[in-house]
Amino acid sequence: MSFLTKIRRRTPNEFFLVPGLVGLGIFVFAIGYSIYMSFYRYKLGFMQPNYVGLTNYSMLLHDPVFTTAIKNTLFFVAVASTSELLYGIFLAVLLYWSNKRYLFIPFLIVPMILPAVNLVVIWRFLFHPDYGFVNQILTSIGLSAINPLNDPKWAMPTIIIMDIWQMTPFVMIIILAGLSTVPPEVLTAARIDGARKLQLTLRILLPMTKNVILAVFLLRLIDAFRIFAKVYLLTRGGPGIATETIELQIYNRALRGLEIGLGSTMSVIFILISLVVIIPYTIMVLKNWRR
Amino acid sequence: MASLINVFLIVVLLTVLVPLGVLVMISLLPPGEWSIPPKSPTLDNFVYVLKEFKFYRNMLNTFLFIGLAILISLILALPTAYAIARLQIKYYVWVFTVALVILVKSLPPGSLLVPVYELLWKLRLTNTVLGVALSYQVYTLPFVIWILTSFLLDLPREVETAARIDGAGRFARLRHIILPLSIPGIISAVILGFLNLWNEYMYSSVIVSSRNLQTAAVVLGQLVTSEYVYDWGILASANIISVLPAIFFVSFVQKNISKAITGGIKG
Repeated sequence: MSFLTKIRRRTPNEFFLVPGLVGLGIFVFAIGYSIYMSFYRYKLGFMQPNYVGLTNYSMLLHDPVFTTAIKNTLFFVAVASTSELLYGIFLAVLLYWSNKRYLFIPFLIVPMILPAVNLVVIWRFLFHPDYGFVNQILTSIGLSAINPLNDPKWAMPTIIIMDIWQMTPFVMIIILAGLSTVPPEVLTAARIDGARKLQLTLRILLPMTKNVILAVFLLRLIDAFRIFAKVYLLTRGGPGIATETIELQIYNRALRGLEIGLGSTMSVIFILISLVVIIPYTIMVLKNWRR
Repeated sequence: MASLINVFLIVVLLTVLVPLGVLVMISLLPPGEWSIPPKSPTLDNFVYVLKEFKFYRNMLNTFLFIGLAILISLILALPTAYAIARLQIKYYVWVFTVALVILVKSLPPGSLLVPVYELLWKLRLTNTVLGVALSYQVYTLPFVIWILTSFLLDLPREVETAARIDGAGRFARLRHIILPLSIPGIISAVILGFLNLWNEYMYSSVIVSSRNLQTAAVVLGQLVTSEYVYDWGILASANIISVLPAIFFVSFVQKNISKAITGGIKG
């Protein structure tokens, strides 16, 4: 037995985890570094880090722009993912009972694969104040033209509608897959008892897919924090600060200004907020994967 | 009842198809025209984007960055996923590793932008192909470990038994049995990775500033926000050209796409 073979035999199984753990470890280090730097004032390439204690935190939490960004982010995450869940369940149930579902599905999932930039082009054109498609229709039936992307009240709902348009298919397809795993015998038995489609859906199908529904909801919540490209390209946070988000603050205010200290503080706050949905999801996956 | 459901689904289908149709129609508009549908449709915009605009260069950049990023991730991920899914490891190490994968996979990429940028800046890797590929690891590394793990969890235990009886060690089994059997999993990791990153804007726009290294998404993004300089027709046709690779990739996995997405949900 050669020396190399001996070493190979003796390496513990955990050794195989090392490549991935080293790679992921860099990101853990990055988070730790952000926590450390959040106590400093530090402009990359211009000044050395300067310890300022909790100044960054108290400054940001009293800053109207940043607190609006937090509120906007939470509003978007809550409203968009809840709407997508409900609409997605609705569509999945419709498809489940449709005899033509294989004709609909390929078309319905197209928005899901479109890059954010494409969505923004479509939406900007649809809602263009002068020659947008929506206004052409509105004026042709005698209503007044609208300009939601320039209206502080309607800019965020427009972004939410865009996200619903794109991401509902994701919820729909996963819940449909969940519904399809309900054994047909269960439905046949209930049908003999005289239950109709609506009752079958509400009393049997949906309760039996509740784990899938919960999983897809958590996935949407997590994913809804990543709306940077959509917001940045559609409104740049405007009009005013109506659609400002934490991501936009990190990108424009911290990184573009090379303010590493301030940006680190924003990142720490962002991570703490997102952990609220990440932790339950992590626990769920740990349970599912346990061998 | 069944027909009522179908009528409803057709209405939903229209809400999906009309905006897409509008995009296609804009791309056929000659310069200066604003009517939908176009009165005199033309393919000039596509010709312009491909010939004058040299957009294919940016698309090649995107391919290069994503390809390199996924390659790095696959090399790191395969042994890790193999250990998570199939080797006997200490329970707390296993929980720690899986939790770490899920955590990094789920964190909003924006929350890691500042430290990753500073690290690459200090290593003088901004504005390089390697720098972009390394920054993309935020997305690809946990994602590829995730996909491969859920794929390997589904492989029957028996595939390794015969080799084990013949005396093959873990390294040999990983190379000669697990690697070839993982090819479908690797392919879906590559395709979903491409779909995910084709769209990437935040890191691509920060790490790269020189024009000839920019990705398709960043160039398109700049076009979108400067609508007064460019024609809508050019913008829309550039968009349609940029989405073709994504559609090409999806057509490969059409059957398995929902399985690939749900991987890990059902376990």
